[in-house]
Amino acid sequence: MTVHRGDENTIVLEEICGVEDAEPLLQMLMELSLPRVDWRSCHSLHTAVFQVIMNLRPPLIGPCGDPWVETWLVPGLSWTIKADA
Amino acid sequence: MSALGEQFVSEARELVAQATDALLGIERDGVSAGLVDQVLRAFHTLKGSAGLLDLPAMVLAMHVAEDLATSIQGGGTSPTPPVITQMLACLDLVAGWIDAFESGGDLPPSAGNEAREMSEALRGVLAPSGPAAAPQGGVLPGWAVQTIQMHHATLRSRAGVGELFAIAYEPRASCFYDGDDPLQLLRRIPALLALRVEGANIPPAEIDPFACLLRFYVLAEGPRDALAGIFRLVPDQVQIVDLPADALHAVPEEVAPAGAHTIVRRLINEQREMLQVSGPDNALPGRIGAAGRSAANALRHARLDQLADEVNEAGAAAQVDADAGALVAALAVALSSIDAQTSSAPVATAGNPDATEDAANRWIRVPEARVDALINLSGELIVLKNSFAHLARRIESEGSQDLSRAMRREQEAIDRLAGEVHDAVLRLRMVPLAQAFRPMPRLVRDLSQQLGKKVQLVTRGETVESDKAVVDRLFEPLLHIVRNAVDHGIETPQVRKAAGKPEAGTIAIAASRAGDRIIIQIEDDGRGIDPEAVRRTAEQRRLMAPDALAVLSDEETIELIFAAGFSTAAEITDISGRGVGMDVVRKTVEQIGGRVFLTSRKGGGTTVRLDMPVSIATARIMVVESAGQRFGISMDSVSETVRLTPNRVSQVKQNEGFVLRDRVVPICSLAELMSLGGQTKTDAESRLLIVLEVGTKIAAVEVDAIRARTEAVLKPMQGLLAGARGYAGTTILGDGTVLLVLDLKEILG
Repeated sequence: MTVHRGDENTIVLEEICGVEDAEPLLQMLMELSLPRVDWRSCHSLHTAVFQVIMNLRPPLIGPCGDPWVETWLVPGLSWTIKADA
Repeated sequence: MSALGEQFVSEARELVAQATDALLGIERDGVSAGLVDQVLRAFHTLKGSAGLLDLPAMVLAMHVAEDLATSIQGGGTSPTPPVITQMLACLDLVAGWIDAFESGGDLPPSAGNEAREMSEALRGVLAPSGPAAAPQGGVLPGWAVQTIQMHHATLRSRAGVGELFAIAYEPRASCFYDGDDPLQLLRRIPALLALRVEGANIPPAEIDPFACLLRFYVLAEGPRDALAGIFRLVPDQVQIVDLPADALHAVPEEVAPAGAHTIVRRLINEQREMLQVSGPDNALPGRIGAAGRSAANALRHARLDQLADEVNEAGAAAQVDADAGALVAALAVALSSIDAQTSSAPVATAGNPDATEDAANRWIRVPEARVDALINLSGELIVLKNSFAHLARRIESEGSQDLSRAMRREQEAIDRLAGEVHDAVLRLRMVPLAQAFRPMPRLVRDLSQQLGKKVQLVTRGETVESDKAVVDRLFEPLLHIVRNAVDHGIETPQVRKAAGKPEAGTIAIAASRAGDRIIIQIEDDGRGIDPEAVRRTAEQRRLMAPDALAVLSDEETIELIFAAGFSTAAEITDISGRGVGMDVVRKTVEQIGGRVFLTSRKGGGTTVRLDMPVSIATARIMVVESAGQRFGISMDSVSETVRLTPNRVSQVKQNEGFVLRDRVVPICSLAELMSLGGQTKTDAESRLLIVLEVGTKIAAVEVDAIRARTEAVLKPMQGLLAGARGYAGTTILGDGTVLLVLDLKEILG
């Protein structure tokens, strides 16, 4: 698993997040109250995982470890994405 | 079919009907936020359910249709007749798919191609927003314009000079299962300039993490071959469009869609109402979270990002405090600042009339068979109840006064209750006539356009209710009558003008209830029926002998249009002039115990009146045969059927009889009763008897054979036979023959 619970209400995405990570991420985002996602160590993000993030709009602890995502996708995210580490 | 599939079929049909209504409303009354919203929601929901059931072709078509509806909402595309026609065609396509899905559990194999063609056609009528509309040769699709608008700043400072392309990549919902990772493909675009991602707005609880509902819009530098190469495995999901070099500068800066605010208001209002409803305390944080998220998303949709952020923060705070106050306040602020921005747009606000309407229209879908089972049960309850009366009398005659009084009291209570149950159950089958009226506006619109006529349809009394069976069967006659009215009744605008009438003809359908009958009147102000023309046609078609025809009054002549094979249209059109229409109307209406009246004034229009029963009285019938003829016997009076060997039959005076459980039962032959001649063979090995009990009387009727037991609608005897005794009525059997149903109470009595 490259998605796991961090401290308190933080969910950590690490290394290569594949399609199989989308469901556990969705689960965690729905279970936690005010969850945040730390994606600094994620080097590669599958569309399915990104879709979950887009839908649930959690605050994100960045920058994303995947520079392409940071360059092309993050500017398009319209919610308050910044959260303190 | 799975429960999900069944639900999809019924909901999708309802959505198609709603969207059709709304589109016709837009065409008739112009764009209104409510109607466009309805269309948009219908397409959106259809797309969602199609995604859920993995019907990619339908997702594709609905997606483009949704874009078009959004564009209408934003004022980018105006709903001209060709646009409406295209959207209606799209709904027709979906309706066809739904039928296929219902029968085969999937869309037809042709759906993929149909969806692509439909998407192209819909895109064809989608007006590109902005002056960049016409790069050489073609129009810039709306998505490309939007993408350019969102990335103006970046694009202006672009240094590159290569060829420019706009790419729309709309992956199939099932693409993850195919091993696709859309972002992976996009990463391979060498000179990416802008990327816009659109997601479907789905409540978290309904998200399927394995269905890809994202759509990607890209601006990139060529060469085209390189771009096409990247997407070579998903050609059906990608559209690559050339951008002229000046396109970037020609597209204006973005503006928020005009209609968006209305929806946002409504959404925010809904959230506020939800927060004000009391519920279990432990659910409150969840409700606050959901309300805050939805409201913020809505605000963002209208490009009100700052308000969205404020609502978001208030929501988070409220969630922590488990007190909705802060969020409610933030929502109020958001609402008033939207109002400030759109003060010119009159929008219904407080009181939300929709809410009460929703409550009144809440439905439970119940399979017809279950309702029928309930009706049968309540019928049996009534029969049982009747036996109490006998019982009470018996107790009385045997001398127990107190007991009999108590019995009677109880019996009255059961009587009342059984009656109420029966009524309530029958009401379950009552549906509003609106169901039969619903397709008419569409029909009138299409026909009148096809024929170059202007027709306005007015309907009244849609809320009048009738038994489902009546409403279902009403549809076809109504269709024929309205068709006839548009095709033969209403004149072309030129003719009408010359006759001093308004250019647009009017067809009015009005329903009303009169006791246990429903009167439906279809009136047009067209040319009316010319008795002379009818007479000539009847002569040509030899519908009647010329001398008989000559003595008919004008009214009687007009009635001839109900005759089979009659048509007054000079040429047979594919719309109604086949001469079967009115014939079918009369037959169908009479089958359910109704009647048709027709009045017409040459030049002044035609009125057709349908007089229908509120409910169809069905009777359980046994079909028997005697001396080669078939008759119906109401099952209510049949207590049993018996086969006797001749030695059990004894002769009592002139009559035959036999003993059944200590009672002597007289036998009479049905053939004799009906004076059919043909002797029943008394020397046969066994004799078939139907034992009838009516009140205290018992008798057996001998028949040759029992053919069937069936449910049938009884039509009272009419015309010369109206006064004939011994018949309960007639009914038409499945094979089309008319069956006389005997009233045995009268025969035995």
